[in-house]
Amino acid sequence: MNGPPNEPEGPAAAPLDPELDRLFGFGTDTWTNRLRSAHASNAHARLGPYEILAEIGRGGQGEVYRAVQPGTGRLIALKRIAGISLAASDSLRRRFEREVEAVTRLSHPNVVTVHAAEVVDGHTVLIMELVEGEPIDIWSDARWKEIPAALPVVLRAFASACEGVAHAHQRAVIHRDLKPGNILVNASGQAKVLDFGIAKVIDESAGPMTAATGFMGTPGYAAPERYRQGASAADVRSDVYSLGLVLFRALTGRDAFTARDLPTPSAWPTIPTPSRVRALPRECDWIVGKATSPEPERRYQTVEALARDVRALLSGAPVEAAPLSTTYRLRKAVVRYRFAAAGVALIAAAMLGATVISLAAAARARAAQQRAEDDRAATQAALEREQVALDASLAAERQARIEAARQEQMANLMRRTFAVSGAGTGGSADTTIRQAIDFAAEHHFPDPAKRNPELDPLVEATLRWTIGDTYLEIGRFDQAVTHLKVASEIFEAEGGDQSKELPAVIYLLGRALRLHGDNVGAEQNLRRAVEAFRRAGNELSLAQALGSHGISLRWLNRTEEAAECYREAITLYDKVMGPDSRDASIVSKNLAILLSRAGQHEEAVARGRRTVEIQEKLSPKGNADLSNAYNDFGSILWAAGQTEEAVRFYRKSISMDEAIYPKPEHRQATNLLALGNRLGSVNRHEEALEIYRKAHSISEQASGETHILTLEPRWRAVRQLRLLGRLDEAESLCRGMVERESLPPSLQASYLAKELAEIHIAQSRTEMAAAALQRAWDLLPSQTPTQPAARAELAAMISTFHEQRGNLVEAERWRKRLPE
Amino acid sequence: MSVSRPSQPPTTSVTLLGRLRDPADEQAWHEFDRRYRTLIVRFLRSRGLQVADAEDTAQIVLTKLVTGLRAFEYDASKGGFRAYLFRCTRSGLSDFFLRQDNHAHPVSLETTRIAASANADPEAERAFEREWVEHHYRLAVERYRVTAENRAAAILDATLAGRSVKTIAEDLAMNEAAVHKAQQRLRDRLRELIAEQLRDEEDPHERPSE
Repeated sequence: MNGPPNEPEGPAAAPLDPELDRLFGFGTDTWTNRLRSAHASNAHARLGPYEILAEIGRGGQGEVYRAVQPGTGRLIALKRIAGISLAASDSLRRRFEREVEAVTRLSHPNVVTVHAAEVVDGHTVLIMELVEGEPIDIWSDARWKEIPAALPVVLRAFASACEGVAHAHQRAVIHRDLKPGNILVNASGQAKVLDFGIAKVIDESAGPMTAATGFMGTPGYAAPERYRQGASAADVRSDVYSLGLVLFRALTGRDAFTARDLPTPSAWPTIPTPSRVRALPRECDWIVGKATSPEPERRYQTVEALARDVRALLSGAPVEAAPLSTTYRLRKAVVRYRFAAAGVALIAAAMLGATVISLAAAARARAAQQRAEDDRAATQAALEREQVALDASLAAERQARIEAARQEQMANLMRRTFAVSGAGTGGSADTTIRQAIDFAAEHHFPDPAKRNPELDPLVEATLRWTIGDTYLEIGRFDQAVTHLKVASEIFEAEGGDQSKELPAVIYLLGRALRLHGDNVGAEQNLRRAVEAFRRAGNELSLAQALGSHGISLRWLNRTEEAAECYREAITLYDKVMGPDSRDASIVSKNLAILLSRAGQHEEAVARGRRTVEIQEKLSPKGNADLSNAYNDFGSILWAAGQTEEAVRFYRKSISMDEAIYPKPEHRQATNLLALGNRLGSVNRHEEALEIYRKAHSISEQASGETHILTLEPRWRAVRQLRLLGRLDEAESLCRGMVERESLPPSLQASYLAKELAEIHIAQSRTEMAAAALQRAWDLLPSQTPTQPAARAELAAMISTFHEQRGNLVEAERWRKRLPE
Repeated sequence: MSVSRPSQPPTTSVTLLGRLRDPADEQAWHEFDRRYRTLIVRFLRSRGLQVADAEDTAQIVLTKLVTGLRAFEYDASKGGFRAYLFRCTRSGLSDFFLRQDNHAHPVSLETTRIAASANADPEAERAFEREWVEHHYRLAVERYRVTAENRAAAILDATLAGRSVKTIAEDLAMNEAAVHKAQQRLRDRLRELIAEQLRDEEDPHERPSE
């Protein structure tokens, strides 16, 4: 070595090549981070019961490690939160636990799952799903460098992040600290949002310190109201703002605010328009502009609305954020030959208020001029359609003021409702959206089927729509049906076919009816929704409606029509959301099952395989969705006669269940039984036996020895042993249980006794066989739906048994028990 | 493809990689093993392998590496030693998954996931790069400590613990500028040590003549 390390002016360090300097961080100050990270991943070999593999991140809130969960061996992420000592205060601990509980309930493909929070070695630690991916800023920079037309790819990833945030909002969880570092994008371009609610937890625990500074969040991404009023001011619209800045960053490759011009409450710098940084369609400017308006009232009011506009941009539909430009609307309308523009006009007009008329007049003049120019080239038919579109948007403009007033009334009403019930913005964590909706429903509609005369009809319809939608989401289908039915009647009476809300409402009504069990009503409403969305040119909604319509048709056994719906839905999803979306994969799975049942095995297998591939991409670490996909594909393969591969997929589903369920669950046993029965039916007794044994052990742990779900795999295992000729093993597996006096009667218990009889018959122990048969009879439950058939079958069997052994009296006695 | 000149005697093969090509140089093999086994094991663990599996697989990879290096299968023009190390490790990883698959045991969820994508896993290369960087940092710190004086070692420890310049200055009764200077010297020295380590990863037969 060349002298002591602290020699004042040693020889100039040997230059690494610049690429290596970057890798090791010597070019910048990041070398200390790399050094610490290298050291930390060696030093923190354990954190409580968790084995630490490496540090994967470090920031103001604490460190994140890649770790191994004891027992399961599953890879997880651990986040050690700095600066929270829960031991300090009980009330702090309770608040923390409540917030964490809300966060652990979030379950969405675009949200990083938080499994639990624990106190380990005195530190508060969050146990989270381990996500492989890059922060959206780094990820999108690479995409722009790689592909010339990166825009759709970047927008799709961003929209998926919005979906994750929207999911949390629906469950009253506000993020409060959205920034590129909290949005990871994986190799297939799907985003995962992390650290929900953490900002709130830290904020509250920091107590007076933050109260003094009055601000929590990441400068440069936090909304202005957070600066002015602190963390309590955060509502869903603050998240909309931060997402707007994230979108700006992803689109342009630079932050909206540089370190120098970071906003202050008194001076809020204007955000540059994205298209000035990079060549982008102007819709990008509008969407970013609307999302990042300094006044919350002028932003998108929900993240769903923001996501909707991003999707609209992707599909070439008009965006809601568009300023009132009649030429823009008309261009979209003419290009698409649709009415969709009318709906945009309502909102755009509402935004601009007084300037509507003059702008519209100017635009009309321009449009007329343009039309005259196009006249020569355009066909007569196209002109007619254009005229219709023009008329529609002019009519819409006249209604704009009325509509604006209604929207205002509606927004106020919802705000009051939420304020009274305490849910939503900044309220108590004890109130859920669900309680707020219950409150709103009971408050405004004590008799849900009756109209409320005090409300403007359209306000009532919109309120019922919201209530119905929420009830549908949380599985209260009867209430959803009532409210949505009234809402659809009002919209229909008020606007008829021109109502822009009607298609969405009847779509929801159709879904609610289907889930409530009314397939005929569901089919009718979904068919209407499909037609309406088709007319409106709303492709994403059309795809959703087609998917649901397909399901309702399948339940009515209209296979051909259902397949047609599914196919169209898949084509549309691929077009709007890009290939391999989650939605397309769900419809594709439905189609595969449908085809398989209809005997079209070749296409069913191809579709099923594709679905599995997509699902694997979407959930690389596996989840219930993927396990189901494996299991369904197993059934499809089995029906197609591809036994070996079917077994392989059944097994994949089973091993995934083992990994994802922390303790034994019946669902696992059910999957195992399905495979066992299939194997048994083709005489693969050894394998079936092994499967049944596993199912038995799982059910036994889940619900005890004598539960019917435990007896089922037991009698089936006995049967496999008997067919394999291993009579002693078979006997020892069933005899003790059959002879147990406390064994409650059930079909399964009776089958087990019957198996014992079969064993004794094979052993030529007639007396014992007869006793076992009697026991099988006694164990038959008196009240089950399958009871008469099971009884008859068993009686016939016992009668034959005695007849073959010359005991005609007994045979006759049993024959009398047979039904006439 | 070799650019080595006949005038260059084999004894100038001072890099570790160069020495490794001499089957008689057992010391080189031990040094190589000492340096890279941990890196390989850590990487394999980060891809979801259990400790025992990672150790078995690392053994196979190391054997393959040495055989490959001696047989001149390694071609520095294809991205250098790091890329070669990664390729060998990744192929060891996918072989491991193939073996697993043949046994048709219900394997763990993580294993299933990685098995499906061992060769196409876009995260693997980044993970390897990360492990490789950290590995060289650790190696350099280990070597630095051997000769570091008390003050220098204290600066290193405080930097590792993530302490701010201000607190370090207070703890060690120095002024902040001096701490800053000392940290810069630490950085330069680590950079130098890492440069040395990386030179050991070069193939003498491929080094351009000065």
